Order: sequence, then C-alpha cells, then structure tokens
Amino acid sequence: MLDKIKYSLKHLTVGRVIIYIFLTLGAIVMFFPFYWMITGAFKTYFEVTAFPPVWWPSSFNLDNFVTAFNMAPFMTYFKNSVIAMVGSVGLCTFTTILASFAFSKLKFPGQHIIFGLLLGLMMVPFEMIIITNYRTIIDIKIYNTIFALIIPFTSSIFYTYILKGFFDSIPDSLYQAARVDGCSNWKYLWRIMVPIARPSLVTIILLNAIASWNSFMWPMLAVVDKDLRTLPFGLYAFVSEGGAETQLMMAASTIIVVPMIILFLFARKQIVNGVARGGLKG
Amino acid sequence: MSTKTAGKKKSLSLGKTVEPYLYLAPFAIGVILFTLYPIVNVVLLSFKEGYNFITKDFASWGIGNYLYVLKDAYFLQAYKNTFMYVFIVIPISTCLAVVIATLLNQKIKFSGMFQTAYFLPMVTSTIAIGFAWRFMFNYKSGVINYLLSFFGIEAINWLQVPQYNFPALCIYGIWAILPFTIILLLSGLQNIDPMYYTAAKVDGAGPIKSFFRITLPLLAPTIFLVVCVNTISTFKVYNELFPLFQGAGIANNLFTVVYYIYYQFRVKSPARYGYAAAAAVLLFITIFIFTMIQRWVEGKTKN
Amino acid sequence: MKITIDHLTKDFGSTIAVNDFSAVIESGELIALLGPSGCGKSTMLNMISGILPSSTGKIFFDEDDVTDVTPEKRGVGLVFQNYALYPHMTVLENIAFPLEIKKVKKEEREAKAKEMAKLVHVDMLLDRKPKQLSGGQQQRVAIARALIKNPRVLLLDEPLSNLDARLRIEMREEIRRIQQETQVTTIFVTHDQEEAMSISDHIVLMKDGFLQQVARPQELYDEPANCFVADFLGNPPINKTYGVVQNGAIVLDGGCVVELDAAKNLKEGHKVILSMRAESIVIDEGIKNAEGTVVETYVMGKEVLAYVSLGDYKVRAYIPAEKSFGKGQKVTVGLKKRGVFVFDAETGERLA
Repeated sequence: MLDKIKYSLKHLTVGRVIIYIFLTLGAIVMFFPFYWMITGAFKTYFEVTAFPPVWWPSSFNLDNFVTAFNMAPFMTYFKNSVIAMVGSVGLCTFTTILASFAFSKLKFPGQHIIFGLLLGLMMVPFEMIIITNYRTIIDIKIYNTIFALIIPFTSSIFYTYILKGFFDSIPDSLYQAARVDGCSNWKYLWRIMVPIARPSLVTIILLNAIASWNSFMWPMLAVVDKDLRTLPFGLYAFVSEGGAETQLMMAASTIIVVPMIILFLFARKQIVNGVARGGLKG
Repeated sequence: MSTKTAGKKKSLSLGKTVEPYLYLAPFAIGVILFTLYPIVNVVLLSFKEGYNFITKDFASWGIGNYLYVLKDAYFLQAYKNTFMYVFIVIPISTCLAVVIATLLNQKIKFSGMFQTAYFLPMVTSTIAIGFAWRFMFNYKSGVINYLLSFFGIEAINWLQVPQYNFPALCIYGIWAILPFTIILLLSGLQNIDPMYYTAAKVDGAGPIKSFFRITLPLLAPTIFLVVCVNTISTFKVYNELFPLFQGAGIANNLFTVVYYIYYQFRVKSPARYGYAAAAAVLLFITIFIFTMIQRWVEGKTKN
Repeated sequence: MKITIDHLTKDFGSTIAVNDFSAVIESGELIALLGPSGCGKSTMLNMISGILPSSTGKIFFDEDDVTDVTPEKRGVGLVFQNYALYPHMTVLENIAFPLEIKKVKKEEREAKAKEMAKLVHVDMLLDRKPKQLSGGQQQRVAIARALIKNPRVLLLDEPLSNLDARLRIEMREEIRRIQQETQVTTIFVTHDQEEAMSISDHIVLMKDGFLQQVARPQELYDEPANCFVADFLGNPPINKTYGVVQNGAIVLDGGCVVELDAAKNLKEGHKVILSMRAESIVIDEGIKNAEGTVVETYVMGKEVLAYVSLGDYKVRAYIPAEKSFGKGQKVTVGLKKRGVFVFDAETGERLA
C-alpha cells in the first residue's frame, strides 16, 4: 500500500516535470518573435545579416531608433495613432453605454426587432463594406482627414451586445429604487449603472483600444497624406517605400508593439476574460 | 383640473416613448451610416455594370460583375488558397491549443508568465510582428533556416520562391491564431465541473484516460465553436500578407478573398469597384453559409 | 397619511393580478399585505408606489388622487426584498442618495443621513460598502434610505424573506420600533402569517388578486370571513371537514354526527365545511359534540398532539400532557365556541 502511494507520488512528479518542459518549450516558441524583434532593434547591420545568427546584440544603444525616426516621421504616426484611438474608443464607448442602457433597462416599441436585426448585422464582416464606406467618407468629405479614422468607428454592435449582457445582470430593483427616489434615467445611468459596470467597461475599452491601435487596412485606404498615417500603416510604408534595413525595421516595429505589451502586462486578466467572453458569445 | 391631469399624462407618455430613442440615436447614426447603408449599397453596387467612381454613373444593371469574378483565376485561386489554409492551419492549431490549454488548466506555478507568453501575439500588430517573422524567415541569415540546418534541412527561400510562400504563411498563421484558440478552450475547460475528474479518479482513471474520456467529450462543443469562429476569420485573412510578401505572395500566388477585394479597387488600374463589390457579396454569402452550418449543428447537438 | 384604494384592477394581458380591490389604510398604521405567493400582493405594492400603472381604479393619498402620479412625486419610500443597495456606494452615500437626487447640499444631506443611520442603528457602519454588511444590516440601510426623504408612506416588499430565522424575528421587531418612532404609514408585503400577525396593526389578506379580509390580527384569526382566511392562518393548520346539515346537526363524510348549536339555524341538506382549530377541540372533558376514536398521539412536551378520527377525517387536537389515551380508544369530542367555524361548501362564505 505504502509502495503504491510512493509510486504514484513519484509518477506525479515525473508527469509534472514533463508538463513544465512542454509548456516552457511552447512558451519559448510563442515568445521568440518578440525576443527576436526587440533584440533585432539593437543589433547592427552586420549582426542582423550574420549567419549563423547573432543571439544577443553587442551593445544596447538607440542608434537604430534615432535613424528610423530621422528617416520617417514616427512621432507624427504615433500621435495620429493616439488621436485615432482616443477619439474612436471614446466616442464608441459613449454610444455603446447609451445604447446598451436603452436596450437593457428601457422599454420601447420595436425593441426586440431592432436588437434581433443588430445581432444579424454582427455577422457582416467589416471587409465586406469597406468599399462602400470608402465611398461614404469621400461623399461626406472626411476622406484623407483624421476624422476618417474616427467617425466610422463610433458605433459598435459587438460591444453594445457585450455591455447589454452585463447591464442585464444588474437587478431591476436598483433601477426601481432609484426611480422611486426621483432619479432620472440619465442620472441613474451615470451615477449607478456605469460605476457598477466598470469592470466590463474597462474590458471593452481595452479590446477596442487594441483593435484601433493595430488596425491597418482602413487607415491605408482612408488617408493618403504622409502626416496622417497611423503607426502600422506608417511602418509598412517605411519598409515598402524606403526599403529599410532589417535592424531599422525591427526598431520601428518595436515602437508599435511595446505599448501593447505594457498594456497586456498590466491588464492581462481583463483582456483575456474579455476575449473569452466575446469569443464564446459571438 | 381634469384637463390638467390629462395633459400631464400625455406629456408623461410622450416622454416615455421618445426618451429611449434619444439614447439610441448616437449609436444608431453610426450603425445606419457605416453598417446598414453600406451593406445595401455594396449589394446594389455589385449589380451595377461599368460603374464610374467619380461620376457614379453606370452602364446597366446586371450580373456581369459576378460572371466576371466567378471566372477570374485570381478569385478562384483565393477560394482554393483559403480552403487549403483552413485545412492546414485549423487542425494543427486546434490540436496544439487543446494540449496547451489542458496543461495551462492544471495547477501550475508561473501560470501568469506562461499566459503572457502564450497570449501576447493576440494584442500585437499583425504588421509589426509580421516583420519580425520576415526577419526570421530570411533566406540567408534567418534564424529558422539556421535551426533547420541542425536537422540536415537545406536553407529554404521562404519568401522569394512562390512554392514556399504558402508554408511560411501557414506557420505564421498558426502562431498568430493560437492565443485566441487557447483562451477560448481554456475558458471551456474551466467550465467543466471538477467533480467529474474526482469521480474518474475514484473509478481509477489515470490522467491520459480522463483526458480522452472526460476532457475531450465535454470540451467538444467549445472545440467546435472555436473551429467555426476560426474558419470564418480565416476567410478574412489579409493583413498577414503585407509584412511577409508586400502583397499576395511573391508571384500573386497567395490571393485571399479579402485581398482580392482590395486588389480590384486599389491595386488594379483603373479600379473595378463592381468586381470588388461582387467579391464582397460572395464573401458574405460564404461566411453566412458557415454561420448557418454552425448554428444548425449547435442546435442539433443541444436537442 | 391615509391611503384609499378604490376599485383597483391590474391585468397583464390575459392574467389579472389584482381584481377590483378596495380598501382604506388608516394614517400611521403598520399594515401587512398577506397572501400566498402569486396572489397579487407585490403587484398591489408596486401600484401603490407607482412603479406599475394600474389598469382601472384609483389610489388616493389622503385626498389627493395619485393614480397617474409618477413614483418620485408620490413621496413613497420603498424597501426591496433584495435591498437594492448600490454596491459601489458606501452606507452613508446609499442613505443620502435620495437627497443627492433632490440636489440637497452635501453637508445637509450627510447630517440627515447620519441621523437616519442612528435611527436604524447602523451609525457605526457608515463607511462600509454593502458587500461588507450582513443581511440584517443591509436591510437596516435600505430602510434608512427609504425614510430619509420623509416619505408619506413606507413600502416594504418581503423585507425579511432573505434573512435567517433568528434575524427575522429581530428585524421584524426593529421594523415595528422604527415605524412607531417615525409614525409613518407603513405597508409591508409578506407570505408569512406569523410575521404578519406579530407586528401589524391590520392585516390585508389577498388571494388570486382578490381582497379576502381586512382586520386586526386577532380578529382575522378569531373571525375569518371565509374558509380561505381560516385555512391560511394558524399553525398547525385548521382542521377542515366536509359534511351536510341534517336535523340541526352536521353529518360529516363517513357518518360522524357533530351536534352544534350553530347548525340549528342552517337549512336542511346544506353542504358545509366545518373547520376547527386544534386548540378548540377538547377530549373527554364533559362537553360532548361528537364521538371519535383516538388514532395516534405525539408527546410535544407541555401538551400532547392527538389525532382523532371523526368520520372519514382525522383531526388534530391539543390535550393536556397529564392525560393519556391509548390508540383506538373511543372518546367524546367537545368543541369550544371560539375557533370553530361553519362555511358554505361551495362559496366558502362564513355561515357560523
């Protein structure tokens, strides 16, 4: 009997070790491109072209970053990315909060039909309507302005759907209690609902911000002026137009990726939960 | 007095009916202008033959755009590529993700560190990290060819020789899709009641047996969902092509459906909006069919 | 403040939740709105608060017709079953919230909130969040929040049902104390007869949307208006037997003859229900209304619960502990005046 326990204990630890080895190998493979990109940003031209590859840069200096910044206006790209992100995420969060509240707590004719229609529209990929949206921004004269990167993204059916789901879970008695006290819908929404829904709001803001920061296709179509480009588009143009050397390409890529890595390190739980929730629902 | 109350009641009910729509209005403007209207418009556009983007004139209504697109070698290639991509990337990534998610779901130390490593690709720009992959895929100084040399494999020109473009895209694709897949499966695993494992242990089932007899069957609905969601998102593959190949492969051999839309109204000169619109509608129909199949299977298994 | 409810009806499409309800609630009283679940008592409360509009009928607060007045203008304080405290606000902020909406100055509303907190004995918990409070404390906070704006009427929806048994007794006495200190007209909904009996001035008993009876607790117990009222109140439940009036007596199913003065005035052949409270039945004490057989006895400590068969029925009776009866023993059964009722078998109306 005792032998049996000893055996299973030993077996367990061997199993554990195998789990850790496997997970570590997998983690190395998954993380490697990041390692390669960031170290690449500090390597010299000779180091990035060497074979066999150089695993660690000989010195950490910002030469590549300085060169890249001199070759292309990355500060401007960075600024545009931030403006587009803050503008679209801010406005979208606002419309999402209002619409989710209306669908969740208010009653109006056509409510269920409208919501059903929206769920149907959620199936439509943005890629399908990109041509006609391109037409629209030209018609409303925001083509090739910073507004072209903001206005089309002020409403999101997906985030409204997610937030409505959370609002639904807040008991109606809270709403009635506030109404009996004379609280207006507007005040109730901002004083009670929004503070309670803060975790969910943070999640949708994070997911929206990540999507906005990384978006590539739309900015490439919606603006032509060099000083209106956002980071991913600016980076791509930097490489494809200028034929930038690898170490400069890595330096510029690092600028785009690092803010998101930092964000992820701080808000991993919210992001992961948000993706899981959104993915399972959608 | 009575008229006063009546008037009050009327204004009250008016306020009640109008207010919800005021809350909806900002949202609705965006949805109507940038989702609903463009859908109608793209469908109309797909039936306009000889559409002129500047003047908005067109020659006639008809199905000419569809006839052209369905015969276009690039468009057919896009579907062929997409299906091949689905058949390679989805099974491999799903199997890997099931194993990794199962291991991550054990009580392990450093789970925060592991999660960070596995999930990080999800939040990073496809373009930026794509350039890192381009660096790694380099023919002469790439780290991938260096590692392969240990297995006696000669250097592969991943990016410049057309036949190797597709494998390179698949490798990058699997890496990129894994985080999302793992997260969904992990949350599926966390929804399995640990009671089942306790019961299996009491019945003498080892870890391998309980994986195949409990984990997999109970995880099956989530696996199915992930496969469907990933298949649909695969039809929209597009961004990945730019950092690796600056387009649809080195010799226009890697068309995807979305790239085809982009090609028709951005790369080609003069731009053919009608063709792009027809391709967009066909893309939607494809996604719609997959969604319906998914709902149908889910509905069946639930009953 | 007096509340007058005049022919009030609420229908939700096909189902009628409250049906032609009329009652007057006197100023300063504590009223229990009692009934089994689904009887329309919460609907009734929501109509008084104004959360639900009524279909027809009118509600008056004193002389004001408030039927079409919105909840916030009625001046009602409402306490919910789940307390409905705002989870992100402290106790102080929760209590002060109704005044915050009225745009009362911060110092003023906080002073008032502290006063209220003192009234309900949560003045040591002002900085806590609702999650950090016990159920009873949350209940107290909810009451303070409802009272802070000096409502004309305080409404409580099943205020004690989320509490455990011991706290429930403590809190119902607290509600009584607070009500007497503030003298606010109070209506509380409950399905628990003991709760209603123990603290209310008047009980309003409802069933299936209909008002059954309005009376003081003891009166409701002693003089039920109909068979449902008699059935609903009392523990153990009242003994309910069916029979027919014959020769001035009631013959129960199974042939047992019950001699009863009250039956003498009833029509021959009338189908009736004879209901007897357990404590109104005496055995072998010189009074004889019927003959029965002891079926089973249970020693309860201070008394014995005996099951006695009367015709087809087994009735419960309390007998003094010092007496003992064997199983199957024939006994004479006596009925006291109090706690014995005759109802019409078809309508359930009280006959005697």
